[in-house]
Amino acid sequence: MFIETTVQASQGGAPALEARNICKNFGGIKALDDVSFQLNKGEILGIVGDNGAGKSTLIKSVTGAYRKSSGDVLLNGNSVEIENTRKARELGIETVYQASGLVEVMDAPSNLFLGREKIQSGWLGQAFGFINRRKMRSETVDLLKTVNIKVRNLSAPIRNLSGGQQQSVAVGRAAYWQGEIIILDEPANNIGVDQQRAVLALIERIRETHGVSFIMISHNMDHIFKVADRVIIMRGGRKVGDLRIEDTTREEVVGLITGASLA
Amino acid sequence: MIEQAMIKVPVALRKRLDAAPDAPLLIATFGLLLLMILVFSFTAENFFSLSVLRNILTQTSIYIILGVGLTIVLTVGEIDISMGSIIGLAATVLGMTVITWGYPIGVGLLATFIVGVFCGFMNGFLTAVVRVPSIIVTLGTLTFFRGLAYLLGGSTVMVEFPPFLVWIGSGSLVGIPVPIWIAFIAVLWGYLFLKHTRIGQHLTAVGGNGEAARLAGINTRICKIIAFLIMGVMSALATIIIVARMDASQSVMGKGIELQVLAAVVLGGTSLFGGRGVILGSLLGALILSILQTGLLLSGVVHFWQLIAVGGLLIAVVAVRISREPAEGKT
Repeated sequence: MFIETTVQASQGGAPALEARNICKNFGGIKALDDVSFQLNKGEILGIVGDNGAGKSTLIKSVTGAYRKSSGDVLLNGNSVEIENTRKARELGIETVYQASGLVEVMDAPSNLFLGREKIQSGWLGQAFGFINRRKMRSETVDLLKTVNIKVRNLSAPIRNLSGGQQQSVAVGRAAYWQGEIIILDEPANNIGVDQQRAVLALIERIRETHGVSFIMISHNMDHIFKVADRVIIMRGGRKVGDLRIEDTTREEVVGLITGASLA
Repeated sequence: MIEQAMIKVPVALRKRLDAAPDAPLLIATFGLLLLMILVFSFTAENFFSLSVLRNILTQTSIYIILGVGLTIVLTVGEIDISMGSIIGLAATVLGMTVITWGYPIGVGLLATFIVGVFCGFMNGFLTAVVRVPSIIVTLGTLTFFRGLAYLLGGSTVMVEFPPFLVWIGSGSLVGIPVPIWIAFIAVLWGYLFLKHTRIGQHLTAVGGNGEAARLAGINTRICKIIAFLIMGVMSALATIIIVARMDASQSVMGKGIELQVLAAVVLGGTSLFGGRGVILGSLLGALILSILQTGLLLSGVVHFWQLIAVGGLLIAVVAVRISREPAEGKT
């Protein structure tokens, strides 16, 4: 914790997000053991680790999807209490979850506005919560254009789209809602190679245009080394490494993941 | 109805159909309904008369109202098979309030709705908060509510309700029987609620992918409780119509009604696995079942064959639909 503070001071200006001493227990099992990290503004931070290393648990505990057992979260240097994902989104943290972030039986506009539907402006709309499908649709068209996704039928269930397109909709959704921090859980998993490239390009483009900071969980070293600025390595619920991409090698990162080498 | 999608559709119409994903299903189901009316107007004497159709519609209104409720429960990814017993309990309470204790009909109707809301909440709470699967919860409350009804009402038949209730059962407004009006309003409301309101959108999301809905900040428990509450309110509405039409109430009312309602809703295209609720389909499904049964009856077909026809039709329609589904989305 003291080390983190000095790093922050040396860079001038508080990090976009800082997690301090996060612990998470599931029953008697320590899923996260005193993990601290920080995400600087405009940075793409990779999180790597083996299955069960605590990557997803870490971001879920930070963003309120899980209730963390202990620890603090700071946004722009201010301590915040994030009880649930709704609160996280209000604070500008958008999360793109692995696979489960979209409702496959609903169409793209419904997914884009899920939980934040546009309501008709008249009194009837306000009183009964009538949604404004036309507006949701036209904004979806605009968004899909900017992220360069072609969808033939906007009213079709999203499961009719390819995996890459679905993932792009999910990432685009996070950008649309102007998250200052976007967290991606395996953004390019289980999709084709071309589509993986498209999703990674989308991430870089959103960083350029929106000045967003990203946290990206990935199994894929190529993806991490292609887009990330820094990487933290998780093993057995602990953080075992925190390295700048330009100062490290794949061998070193893989060694830390497996425990073959120690930081 | 099978040929529907094979016909070449002009581009403009194609676009409209794209914008309404339920349209092909509804058109096909409506086609089946028309076909049945056509067939029975030849085989059954006097079938195609206003009074017969009016009668069928009035009888079906109960199933339509319950169908709206069940559609919403299925949309949220749950099921409710206790509605028949909610009706039994609500009918008993309505009879006791008005006949036994002599309260005004307004109080009786209020009590009926309170029973509906209470039963719906109990189902919803046990499902959403205690997390017992809804099929088990409502299997339990199916006998639980019925037991309560017997306990309160025994086997007494309570009769001679006030004129207002009798009017609900057999009166008309602008030439259309009151139960049809109530069913119409229930369908219109259900359609608008499920397809065009924020809560309806959330219910669909919860049934489609509960985890995604939760992560999007939707309170999935409240959504489920709301669905069961609606089912309870619809059961109370149906109770009022049943009691009003018979001008009698008894604890045994509504027994076995859930299967007919479930069949109607499934015929209408609502998914048993959540995420897809087609209110207008449930309306058509209920009408198809009623017309099939009445039509066969009037054509002089033996009751056993009616049962076989209803079951066969249900399976055939769903089989055709499933066989068409994979082709829909894959590119």
